[in-house]
Amino acid sequence: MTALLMIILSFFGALVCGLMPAQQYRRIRWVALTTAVAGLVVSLICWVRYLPGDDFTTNFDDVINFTWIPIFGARFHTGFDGISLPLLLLTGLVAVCGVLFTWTLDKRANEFYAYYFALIGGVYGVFLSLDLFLLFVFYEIAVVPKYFLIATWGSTRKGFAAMKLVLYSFAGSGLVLLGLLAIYFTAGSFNLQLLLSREQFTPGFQAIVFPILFLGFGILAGLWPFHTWAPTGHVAAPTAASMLLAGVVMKLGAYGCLRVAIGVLPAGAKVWAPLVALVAVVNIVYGALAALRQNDFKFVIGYSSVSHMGFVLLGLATLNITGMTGAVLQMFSHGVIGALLFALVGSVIYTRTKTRMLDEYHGLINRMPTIAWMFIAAGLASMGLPGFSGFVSELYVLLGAWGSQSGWIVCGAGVGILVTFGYTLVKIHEAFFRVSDTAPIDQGSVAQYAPMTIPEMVGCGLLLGATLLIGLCPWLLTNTVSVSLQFLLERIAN
Amino acid sequence: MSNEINLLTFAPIAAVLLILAAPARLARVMALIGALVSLVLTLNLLKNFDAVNLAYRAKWIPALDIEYFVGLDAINALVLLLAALLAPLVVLASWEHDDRPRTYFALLSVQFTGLFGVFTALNFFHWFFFWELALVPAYFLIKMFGHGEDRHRAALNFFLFTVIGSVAMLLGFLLLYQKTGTFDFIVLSKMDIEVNSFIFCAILAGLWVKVPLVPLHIWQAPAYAAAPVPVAMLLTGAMSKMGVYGFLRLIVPIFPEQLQQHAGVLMAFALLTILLGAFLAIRQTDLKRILAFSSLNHVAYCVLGIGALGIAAHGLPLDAHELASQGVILQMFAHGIAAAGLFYLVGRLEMRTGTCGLNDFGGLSAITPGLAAAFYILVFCSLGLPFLAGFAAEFLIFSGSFAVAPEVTVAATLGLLATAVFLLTMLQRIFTGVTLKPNHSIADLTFNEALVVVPIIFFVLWAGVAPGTWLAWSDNLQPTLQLIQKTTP
Repeated sequence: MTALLMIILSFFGALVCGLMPAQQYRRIRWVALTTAVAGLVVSLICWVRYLPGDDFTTNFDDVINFTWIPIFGARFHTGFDGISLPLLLLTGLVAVCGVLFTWTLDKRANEFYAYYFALIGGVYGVFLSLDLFLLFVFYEIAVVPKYFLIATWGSTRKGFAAMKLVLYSFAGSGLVLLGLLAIYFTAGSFNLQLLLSREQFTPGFQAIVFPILFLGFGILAGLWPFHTWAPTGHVAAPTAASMLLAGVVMKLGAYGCLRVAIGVLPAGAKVWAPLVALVAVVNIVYGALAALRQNDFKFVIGYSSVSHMGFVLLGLATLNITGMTGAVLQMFSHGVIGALLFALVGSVIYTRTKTRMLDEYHGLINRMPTIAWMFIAAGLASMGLPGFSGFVSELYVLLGAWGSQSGWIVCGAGVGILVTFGYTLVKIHEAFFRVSDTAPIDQGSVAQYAPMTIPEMVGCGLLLGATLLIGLCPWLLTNTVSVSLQFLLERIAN
Repeated sequence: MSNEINLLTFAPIAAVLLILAAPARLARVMALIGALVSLVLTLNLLKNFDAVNLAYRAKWIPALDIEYFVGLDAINALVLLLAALLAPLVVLASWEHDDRPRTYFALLSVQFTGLFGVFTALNFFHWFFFWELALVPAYFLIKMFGHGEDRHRAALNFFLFTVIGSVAMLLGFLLLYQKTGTFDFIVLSKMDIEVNSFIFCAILAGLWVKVPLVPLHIWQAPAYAAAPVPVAMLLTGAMSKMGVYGFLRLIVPIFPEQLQQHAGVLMAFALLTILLGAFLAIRQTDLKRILAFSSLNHVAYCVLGIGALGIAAHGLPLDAHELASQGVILQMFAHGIAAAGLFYLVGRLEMRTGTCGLNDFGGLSAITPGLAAAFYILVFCSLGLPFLAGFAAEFLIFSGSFAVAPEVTVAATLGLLATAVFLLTMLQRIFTGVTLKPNHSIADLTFNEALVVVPIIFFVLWAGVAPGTWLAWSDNLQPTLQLIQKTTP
């Protein structure tokens, strides 16, 4: 029952925030913070208590299973294992930090948090679902709030970006639905626990359905060339929403690829893995090159997300324990780092400089030293320097790729890492060190920007602490992740 | 198991916390304390070495069988001592630094930890961590505190070149891990690894950039010239040794066959670097760039020695192998300490006059006799005159390499001649002849400066007059290597 609290608390928080009058935005934010922290605490409790089981069925913890829509056998069936745990933790963490970085919001805060927690509830739901129909329902629930969050509180062509994001999401959902129905009518069940533990499908069927499902989920994971919703959507979204989008929502897609597409259709995955690996490398390199060309700071981070998700896809394509552990770690790692970068650029820096254009910044290092160093630390984490979680996850992915893919794929990923180093350094230079001639005079005349507020510091500290913790002690996550993946992989081997 | 190695590695990081907590004017004191703690611990370790103290291992990532494994043996004892000696000297050299002191000293301290970590790690996983940890602060130190508008470009080139090498090395090591299942240097060195040229080339590339060797050296001179002087001391003194040390730690024990096969190519490139470095140095008019190219030239002798010991490893008389390896280790120390000293002195000249062109001085030996004496000694050490550290080291390397590749060695002596040309020209232009007007009143060495220069000269003389003590030092540590090997499953 504990795990279910995450979903219940979030939707309850959405309801409470939505019903409070908008003028009481001070009180609303405390309600929001309490809700988010409660979700995080529940996920931490689950994490501490979780013990991997001996086989597939006992491996899931906190299983709840009762009839929901008897006509087609849909059940309310939830539970979690080592694969969903890091993502639940990530969701809780990013939700808390999202509230912290939106602390000063006073415009229609009640509605904002209603959508915000509806989105988070949907995300928790997807990660906890053990029934494909239920999973799909939560997946859809997560789409709608995004539209309103971006269209109402966003910036930079918000209407266009919101619509584009929603259309892409729904297109993905359409493909997913198709795939799910094919599975349902062949196996006669939506029960994920059952589907994961038994061989149900002929290789021919798997080879046809796998690409449909993978592409459907992959769109949300930023799979090239269907990634274009991501940068525009992330940029237009308000800070808390872009943290959630980049940090968590993209992981929904990757989680679907892993749990449903690869988990249920392992033989199909085997057939398509080389192509997935190739596309993943394109993701990595293309995203990094695109980031290099941006002048809008938020677009840089947007494209870097596309690039980093490429590592998740590459890890999935390895189909071995090391690479896939890396993929799950990278989901967590990029979730934390991506959220931190969006928070810094979209909120902390923007509220002070009132611009996101890199050529209008003017040697910020001397006028906001703490913030600049905070960003540099986040940038180093994003580069995947040793000590940060990004290094460990990319290391696992590359190690796995050496074992299963051709050397060219790995070297391609290596090139991607180099371009990542390049754009991160170049953008750090342009934002903080370059003394620009084109900057407006009044910009240059500000001696010192306001220091970081307490909510900002707590938020940065939490996210940076999380990436360092996992960077130095990856076993905190990998132990349980590997066990759960092992069960999944045993079927691929057969 | 003693934790002394860990303590000395992380003492500067602890100092970073103090630096950030203490008032800005105390930052330098904290940094100095951190560096001194490391130095004392290092000296203590080397003085009372017994095998138990000299290795420490702990499980780190059990799933991947990765351990935290550090240790001291004949290969890294001297180079660790070098880094530990330079650390407090570098802090002293930046004593008057007042531009954003907290940032500056914090970055410097992080870099110390990176260096100590690289020189003590025996497992690739955290070795690589420290390898990158040493790089990042150097980048920001050059970028934020360097000279001239060119510093941004220099820092970026420095970073990108190194990182390209690092990523290649990382990919290589991951493939190696894929094949062998371990990151442990000692275990790897005992394994019979199937020949894979990709792994060898990838690791070689990482070291090639760091040393650097032609043609990947182009980041070096701009970075050294743009860096603040204390940072340049660290770059030339300790960081360039990371590459050479990498050769000794990774290439020589783990890939002996490949090294033997390709030693000829390696020696050819070393020779090319020696000659090119010297001839480029002749053409410079900026003192810092002269020193940078001189550094390029001198570190390449180490690689020449490594090529020699690679060939000598099999079949040929063991003497050559022994001579060359002792020479390389001593040359790392000798060049590190002398080059750092020279950079410091040039930096002080620049402080006094605002310039550091070859032709901006003249006749200084009469005006600043103390500074001139120190400068002469260090230049003579670089030249390889007897009774100074450089002589013993280069002599050992040359005798080792002559035994296996006489032609290359003869050609390399041409480099020695070219070195003499630019070093002596430099002495002559700065210290003899007519004194330029504005330089009539510049001050001699201050007490503070003597604190930096005297220890350097002391070690240069000691290693030159009695190289035996140093070689014995690393010889005595030889058994500990075997002991570490024995404890390795």
